[in-house]
Amino acid sequence: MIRRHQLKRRTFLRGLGGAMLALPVLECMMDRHGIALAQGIPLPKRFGVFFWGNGVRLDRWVPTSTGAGYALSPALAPLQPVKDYVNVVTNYEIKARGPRGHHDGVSGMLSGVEFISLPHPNSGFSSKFGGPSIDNLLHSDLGISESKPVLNLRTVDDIIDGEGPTLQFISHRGPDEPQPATRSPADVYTQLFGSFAAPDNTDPRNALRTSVLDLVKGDIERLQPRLSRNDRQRLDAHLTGVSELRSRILALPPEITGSCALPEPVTATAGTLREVVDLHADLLAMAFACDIRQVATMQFTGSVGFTVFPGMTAGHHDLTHQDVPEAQDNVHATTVHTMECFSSLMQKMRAMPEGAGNVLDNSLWLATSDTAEGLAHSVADYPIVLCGRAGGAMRFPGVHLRGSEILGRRNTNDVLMSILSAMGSPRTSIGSGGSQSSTVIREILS
Amino acid sequence: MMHRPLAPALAFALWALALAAGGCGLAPAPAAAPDPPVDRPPAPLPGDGEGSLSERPPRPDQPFAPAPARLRRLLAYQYQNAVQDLLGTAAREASAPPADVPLNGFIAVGAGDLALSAAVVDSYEASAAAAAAAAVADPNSPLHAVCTPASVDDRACFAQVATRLGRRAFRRTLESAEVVRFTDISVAAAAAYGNPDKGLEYLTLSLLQSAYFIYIVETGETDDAAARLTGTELATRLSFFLTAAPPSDELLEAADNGSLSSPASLEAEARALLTEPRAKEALRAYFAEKLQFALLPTLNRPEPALTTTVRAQMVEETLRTIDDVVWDRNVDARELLTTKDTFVNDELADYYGFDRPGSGVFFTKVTPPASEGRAGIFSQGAFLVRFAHPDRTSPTLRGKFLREQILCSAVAAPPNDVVTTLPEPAVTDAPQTTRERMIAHQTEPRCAACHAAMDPLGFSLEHFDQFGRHRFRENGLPIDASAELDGVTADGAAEFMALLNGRSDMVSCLVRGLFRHGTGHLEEIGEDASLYDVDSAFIDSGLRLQEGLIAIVTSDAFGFVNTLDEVQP
Repeated sequence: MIRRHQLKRRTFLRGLGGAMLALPVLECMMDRHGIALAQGIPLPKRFGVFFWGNGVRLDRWVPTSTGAGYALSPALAPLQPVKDYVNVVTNYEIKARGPRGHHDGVSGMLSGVEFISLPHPNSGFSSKFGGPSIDNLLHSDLGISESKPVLNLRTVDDIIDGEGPTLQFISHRGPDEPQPATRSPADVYTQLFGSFAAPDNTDPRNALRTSVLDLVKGDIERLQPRLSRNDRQRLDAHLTGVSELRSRILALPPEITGSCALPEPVTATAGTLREVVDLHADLLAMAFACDIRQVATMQFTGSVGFTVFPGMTAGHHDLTHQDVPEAQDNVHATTVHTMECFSSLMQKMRAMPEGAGNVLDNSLWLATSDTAEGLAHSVADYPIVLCGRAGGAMRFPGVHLRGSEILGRRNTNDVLMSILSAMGSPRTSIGSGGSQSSTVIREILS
Repeated sequence: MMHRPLAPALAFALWALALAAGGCGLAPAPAAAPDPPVDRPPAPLPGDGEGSLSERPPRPDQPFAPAPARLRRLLAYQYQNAVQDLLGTAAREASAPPADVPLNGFIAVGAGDLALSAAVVDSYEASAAAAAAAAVADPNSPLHAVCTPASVDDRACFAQVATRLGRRAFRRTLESAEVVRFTDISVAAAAAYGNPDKGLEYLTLSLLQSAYFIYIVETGETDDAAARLTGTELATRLSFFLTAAPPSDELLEAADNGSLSSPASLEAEARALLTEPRAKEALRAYFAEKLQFALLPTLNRPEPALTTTVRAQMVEETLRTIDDVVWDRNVDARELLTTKDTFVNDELADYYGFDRPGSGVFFTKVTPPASEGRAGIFSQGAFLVRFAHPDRTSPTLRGKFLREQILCSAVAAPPNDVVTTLPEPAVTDAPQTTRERMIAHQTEPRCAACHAAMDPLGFSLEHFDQFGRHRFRENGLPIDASAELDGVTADGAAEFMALLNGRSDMVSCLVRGLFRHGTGHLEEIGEDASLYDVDSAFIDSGLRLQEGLIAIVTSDAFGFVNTLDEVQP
């Protein structure tokens, strides 16, 4: 049961003004592809990261043919229903890597820079990201409103927390600012749609909440000068969180129009991998359609995670390190299951109409892992799938591009650069030193 | 972005270089500490009255230099205790602080290093609102003990509540301007709703969202490379460390009067805190974190009898053992590793296959069958289940824990990008033990470099499966539980734990873990000598952990911070 409402006149006026929050898209403003507004103002472009831990079996991942008519590999076969939207990039290598398996892949692939080691002579190893992850870079580069923060989701609880934020989280605003993710679909529902009611101007609650936040802000600003530089920076992050919360309190609920509708409440707090992904996917597709979120991450399984996949007996990371054929067959089977879930997520994005097209037309997803092959902790020939048209910026139908090795193996930062470009970021390079890239991969862009 | 003074940063860099050069394996300490002797015979068991330790390295000679002051976010359970003291039990139950994030294996280190994410700020707001509403509705809440606002603009009463509750919430006396700000928000809320209770509610939720409540703020008495904590700062550090709760009004009062500035009265206040029931709870929370029990309820372990109830009972078994050694008997802490006794109730005894003690749901001390060879908390169910795979044991995970967490040695991970493909196992249908399957870890040089530091420790526990039960055989084959610790061999848990107990680095590791937890940072070189003296006092006390705690809180490393970075350039 979905409630729909008429488009209100003030919405149209605000649409012309273009300054208010949570603007709906008016179908009359679409061009005939549903890709952009008639005035040339693009629809919001959405970006997502889909991450799984412990890599793949490359012999069953890499497609054997390249170019536009490539055949999906056994691991990628579940993407057949959305194949036109899929660009597969292979033979790229993490160049921004430090000396620790798993850590190097997560941070290198998702941030473009090396992780920061936190060694200590008498303690176990930990690390932090060296800089913001790609989702936060884009959120900032695109000037997305504070009232539409990155939505961080995870599918499992089996995530290790003993080696620092690099392995525990995939979204980072900076080295000291890992962003926790939510698993419970019921909690995600509340986060997204809990305040979807029309504002009640007779209730002083929200005005008082913002007054309290102003008081909190003043306290922090008075405290900061008495602290070390490091602590002042930490409190800057706290202030940012206060400011974002304030702007979300003040933001009007989205207009219920077009595809945007208030979903039925979700009560499930856990489930199988597929169940949780599908519940998240429905909520996320609607959050995109209602334009209350523009960037999301999904930690499907953890780096070095010990999720036991359906029908298996061993934990995932342990499985990847069992160098016997049946275990490695099972590793491949987990990749297939992972791609089935990713495909389901993508199909739900495509099923959400938007203008003359769908949400996947205006989205770009990066699906990747923390290693190429878990068995060897390798970071060469990295598993990378890009799905979605990014408002027409991505090659469609998609191709399989196998990077040439003429000047050595290609840099995964070229992929991040291509994503930044497709999404409309003004950034001209990513990475530093030997990992720096300003190269856009033309073959996967339109 | 390491925010450390230069000298330790250099030491870490040198250490990291050494690690890179040596590849895997044990990393040497940066100081000139000699390697522990490797040819020492097993020490006698503690509890026999004669437990001796391996020779200690010489006292470090670096001058005292405390770590930089840092904001520390309250740990989730500290936050809940603080809410309880401030607002009562109903408010505590309504509160829902955000999850802790560990760094270098300690949630306290994460709390002292990482910034709050936006989602965490949201959680604090929601938690504050829920706790405040619950407190207003709870007639027994201390919130109502100060005064009752007579009208929506009863500024005098709101100011009184802000002064009294604010002091307890911020662990210091509020400035008058602060009282005015909290009074203003109270009056605004009361007026907006036409309800004086709303004033109390918004006053409360404002206090709970303030940085002065959420963080432990330490700025020291002076700007100095070694600045003494102020009285209330030391009272706060002391109280959160020993009781996981904020200082009482009385302790704050005493601190304001300078009573913590003399070593004798500081020790007396610390001993008084150790008599509180919360001291036991605080130590339980520390060990539950240290032993990584939080994941235990959700781990995939395909054994129907290993219900969440049984898993919780296993945790209780270990924590009871700690209570017994530290509080009930106050004996040599090394008994934790070697005690032949344990604590079970009827259901847990059934699970293990022990004789039922007949105590129903209540835990009671029992002695498991000697034939099982159990010794101490590492041969109890919680640890054995936690550190294992779903389908078999993991000597690697168990050994890695003992090496890193009990001996404080750093074990490097396999380097990335090296194909560590093991030789194909011989094609055979013959059953193997877990140990036999792991033979390549010891014979393949690239594996052995790391695994030799871990697996041989974990082999000592091979008589206990991934469900925490004793086994004589695996896959029909006899178990080989012979183990090795840096060249010294042992057979089975009891012998191996006696080896660990003879190591002085095990003792200093125990002290350092508690120190990291209590101060929110990994000790730095300039603190080593102070902590060495803590070790000495702990050893001299007969290794009774209560005395170790007293030695920590009375040390310079606990009482001083570097505040020089406070002045902006």
